[in-house]
Order: sequence, then structure tokens, then C-alpha cells
Amino acid sequence: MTIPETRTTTQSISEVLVNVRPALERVLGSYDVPPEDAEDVLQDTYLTLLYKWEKVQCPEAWLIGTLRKKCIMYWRKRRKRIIDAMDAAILELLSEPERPSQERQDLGRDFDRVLGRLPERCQKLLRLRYGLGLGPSEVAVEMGYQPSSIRKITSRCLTVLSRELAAVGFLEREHD
Amino acid sequence: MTESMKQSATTNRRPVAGHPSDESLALFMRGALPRDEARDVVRHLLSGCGACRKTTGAWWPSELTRDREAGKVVPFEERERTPSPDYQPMFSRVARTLAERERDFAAERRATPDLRTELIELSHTERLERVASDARFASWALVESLLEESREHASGQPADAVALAELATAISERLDEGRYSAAAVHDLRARAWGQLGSSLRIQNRVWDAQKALDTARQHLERGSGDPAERCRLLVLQAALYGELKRFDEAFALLDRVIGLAERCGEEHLRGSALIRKARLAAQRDDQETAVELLRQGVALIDPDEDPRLVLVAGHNLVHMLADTGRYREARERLDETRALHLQFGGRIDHVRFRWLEAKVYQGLGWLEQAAELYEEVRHAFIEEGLGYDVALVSLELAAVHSQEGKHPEVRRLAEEMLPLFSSQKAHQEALAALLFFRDAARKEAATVPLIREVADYLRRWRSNPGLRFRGGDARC
Repeated sequence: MTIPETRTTTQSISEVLVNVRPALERVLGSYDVPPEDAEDVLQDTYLTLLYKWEKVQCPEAWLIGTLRKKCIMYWRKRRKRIIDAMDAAILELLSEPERPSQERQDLGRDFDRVLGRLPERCQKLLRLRYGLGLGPSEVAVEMGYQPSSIRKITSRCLTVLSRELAAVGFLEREHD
Repeated sequence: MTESMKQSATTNRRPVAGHPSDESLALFMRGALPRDEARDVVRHLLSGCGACRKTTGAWWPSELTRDREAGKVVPFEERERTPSPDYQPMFSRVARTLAERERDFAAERRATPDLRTELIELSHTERLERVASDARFASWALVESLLEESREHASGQPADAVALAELATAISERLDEGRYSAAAVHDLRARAWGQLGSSLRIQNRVWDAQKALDTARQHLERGSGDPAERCRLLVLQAALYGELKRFDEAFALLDRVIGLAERCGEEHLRGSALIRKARLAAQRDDQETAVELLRQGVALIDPDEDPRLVLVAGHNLVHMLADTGRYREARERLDETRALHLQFGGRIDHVRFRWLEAKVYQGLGWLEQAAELYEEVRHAFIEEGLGYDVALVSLELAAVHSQEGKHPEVRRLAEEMLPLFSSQKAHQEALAALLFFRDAARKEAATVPLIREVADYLRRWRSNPGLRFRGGDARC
């Protein structure tokens, strides 16, 4: 494996792109970014380089490193969209007053069953969130967490719940 | 499994009564299903339907996976590879878009001087109003140009530097994220807010500076993740901590920058962090460490990237070498520093260099040359009306004359210095120090230690105007 050379003053941006293209393809491939989304990811990376051209010392290394970060961010955003959708849907489902009582009971039972498979800390937090409808700061008080850290903990628990619902398989252990 | 493979694996499946269709599940897992339908999908998943959970499981976004046998997290790149999809057509399309943007950007740069001219004629408030109401000013190149000018004004005209950085932040907030790329725009906004924070710090508005740096950090979090941008902001934060005398935090931040910059091969950035550390070490009165850090930093910084930094660092290195008594080494660096001043410095910079030169000559015992230079510098400061500097350089010159036993010269300087200094609304304590010196000069009792004592007091008084003068300790 070679180390990309430092930019010479005569090298143009298009020359850099030609040289580094195989490496960028490998990055996109290793992160499984679908071609239809890869276009946005790549374009964003290229444009950022264009506007920073004067400041970037080694464009090849910069492009590879930045694309790698953007791929990670791409999947992070995709996961967040799913988690947000799950969260919003559960909040709505559990707060629908017009739902017939049998359906409400079924829903409650299903929800309890799913929660029962989660780490204890997440069970408690999600019951406060969905069952009692508490906001993040109220959950923090109830569970004895700093208000500044509750967002992170909630986000972890929502991820665990979403993975469980989507049957991703291996459930990451949440440590109390 | 790639997205297209997952897609082909599911598209053949039929929607079963009571189950969401495969298309709905796929859209849900891409976060693109309408809210009502998403609720139905989640309700169905809560029921524990194995078939649908299998489908959604295949659509779960890639992430770090845990190798059960090894019991460790496996990075993306070490996972079992599947054949990569064909990115070929996409690369060609993106290259074409980039070429178009490159042309647009070149045109934007050409238009920048005219936009600047339009703004120059306006007051600061009018400028802010104009850039808020006229879309032509929402230009990346204009922001960069304003930031560069703000940096240039930072030491000489800090109020202008703040105004320019404020204008740059205002314009940066109006840049079209779709046109430039959101990540790049956030990086630029971070840079603009960082520059504003830095200018405010130089104006001693430390709390406003901290607020600006906090805003910069928020933008950075939404930016490209470029470590160089992060390092720049850390350097500015460290400078602010230094100002607040929070040295340990400042050193810790700079060590992070040095480590990051080293890993990224950002030599200039590493050099500027070392120079910043040197400045902090000097503030802590650790001159030896400061000299060593400065020496390392100067060797790494790039004149093309920040000529002013090269000049200031080179100058300060000679200054510190002289302060620590290494006059020979300081003299060896004079020619190089002079060249930097001639190339990058302004008139006052050059006068300060001549002052430094005089100090080195004095240290080497070349008193005649030192006196000549001090006199030259003194006249230049008188012309500029810089009373405080006149007083300091006069004291240095007086020390040379005192060393040579030229008491009438010492007395002349003492008499001339007072009216110049008192016209600058000087503090009573500082005036008292100079009166003390004048009285000693009149009695031919202004010895070198006494003169140094007065000069040291004046230097400390500048950063601490409440400091009282307790003269006479050095009288012998």
C-alpha cells in the first residue's frame, strides 16, 4: 500500500481526482454505500475539497479520510432516521385514546414483551418515556442522571429498542 | 450485503394479508415512509412477526459489527467483503458537476473585489444590512476574503478585525448549503466564528470570545469532520484559556492539536500550536521551555500559509534568546528575521525589529551600535506618538549611556521622556516611576539596575495598570 504523495503546486483538482478515484471506490465499497446515495456523499466530499483547495496540504489523503468519515455519518444518519421513526410511532401508538381496549391491551402486552428483552436500565427509561410520557429532563430526575447526559442515554436505549424491533440479531449489551 | 442485493432479495416477496408490503418495510427502513404508515409498520413489528423482522433486519443500516468469536468490534473495512456495486457512472457524473462548480467558484472569486469595494463605502451597520438584503453578497469567496483581512488587522487594528469577522459570520450564515455543500458551509462558518472569537479575545472581550468559539464548535460538529478545522479551533480555544490564565487546560488542548496535526501530516498547524505553547510558557515565566518550543515551531510553519505568523514567531524567538542571555545565537538569527520583516512587516514592525537588534548588540557589549539603534527607534516612536514605547526605549538607551558613564545623556533622556509620556493620559503610578528616574538622573544616580527596575515596572504596569510602583529597591 502506498502513501499518497503531498500535493505539488502544479497538480490540479481534476488530476488529484483521477489519481485517487480507485481508492475512493474502495472506501465506498467497504462501507456498502448504495450507488444512489453514494453520489451525494461523494459530491459533498468533492465540493468541500474544492472550497478548501488552498488549505488542504495533501488532497489525496484528505479525500480518503473525509469520504470515510462521510460514509460513517451516512449510516449514522440512516440509523437515526429509523430510530426517530420508531420512537415517534411508539409514542403515538401508546397515546391514542380512541383505540379499543382490547387493542390497547394487546399493544401493551406486545410492548412489555419487547421491553422485557432489553437491558434493565433501558426498560426503566423507556417505561418512563412511553408509559408515563415523561420528557427527557423528567426522566433524568426520576433515574438520577445529570440532565446533560440523559440525551445520550436515551439515544442508546432507543437504538437498542429499534434493533430489537427490526430483528437485527445480535443485541449489543447495554451496561448499567 | 449491498443495498441493491437486499432490494432484489425482497422485491420478489409478496405482500401477505395483514403484513406490511416489502416496499413499505423497505421505505420504513430508509426513513422515507409517511408517518401514518410508519406507525402501522411499527405496530406490526411490535407483534413480533418473524417474516417482517427478517426483512427489516436485512435493511438495517451498516454499522460496526461485533465478532462473536473474537468478542471485539470489527471495523467496517475488516468485515467480510461483498462485491462492490458499480460506482463508475456516478464518478463521471460527480466529476462533471465538480467541473461546473469549479468554474462558478472561479467567477465568484473574480467578483469579490467589486463586492468588497461596494462594502467599503458603507458603515458597519449599513454593511450588515446590505449583506442581509442583497443575495450577491452571499459568496464563499467574499467570506474568505473578509476573514483574511480580519486576521491581518488582528494585532494592529483589533476593532476593525472584530468588525470584519462579524461581517464574515453574517455572510457565512446566509450561504446556500445546497449550492456549496452543507458540510463545507458549516466548516466555513466555524472558521468565521473562530476568527470572531480570536479578534474579540485580542480586544480583551473574553466572554464574548468564548460565546463565539462555542458557536464555532457547534458548526464544526455539523461540518466535514476535517481534523485540520478541529485543530484550528482548538488552537483558538487554547489561546483564550491562556488569556484566562487557565494554563493547564490550554496546554492540554495544544498537545491534542500537536498530536492530531502530526497524524494528519499538517506541519504548519503543528508548528503554530508549538508557537502558541511557547507563548504560554513565556507567560508562565518558563523562558527556557518557551525558547525550545518556539525553535521547533518556527522550523515547521509555512510562510505561504501565514506569513505574519512566520514573522512574529521568528521575531519572538530572537527576543527570547536575548532574554535568556543567548546573544550570539540571537545575532545569528538577525539576518533571517530582518529579511522576514522587510518582506512581510509594516513600518512599526520594522522599528520594533531595530529595537530588538539594539538589544542584542547591547547584550554582546557593542554599546555604540546599540545606542545608535536605540536613538533611531526612539525617534521613530516619537514620530508615531507612541509614548509608552518612547519611555521604554529611552530607558534602554539610558542604561547604555549609564554603562558608559554618560550622565548628561541620561539626564537629557529623562527630561525629554516625561512630557511625551504624560501627554498619553498615563496612570499616576507610571508617572511616579518616571519621575523617580528623572530625579535620580538629575543627581547622576541613575544606575543600570535602577533604570532596569523602572523599565521592568513599566512593562508589568502595562498588563496590570493597578500595579503600584515601589521604587528605590535597586538604588545603590
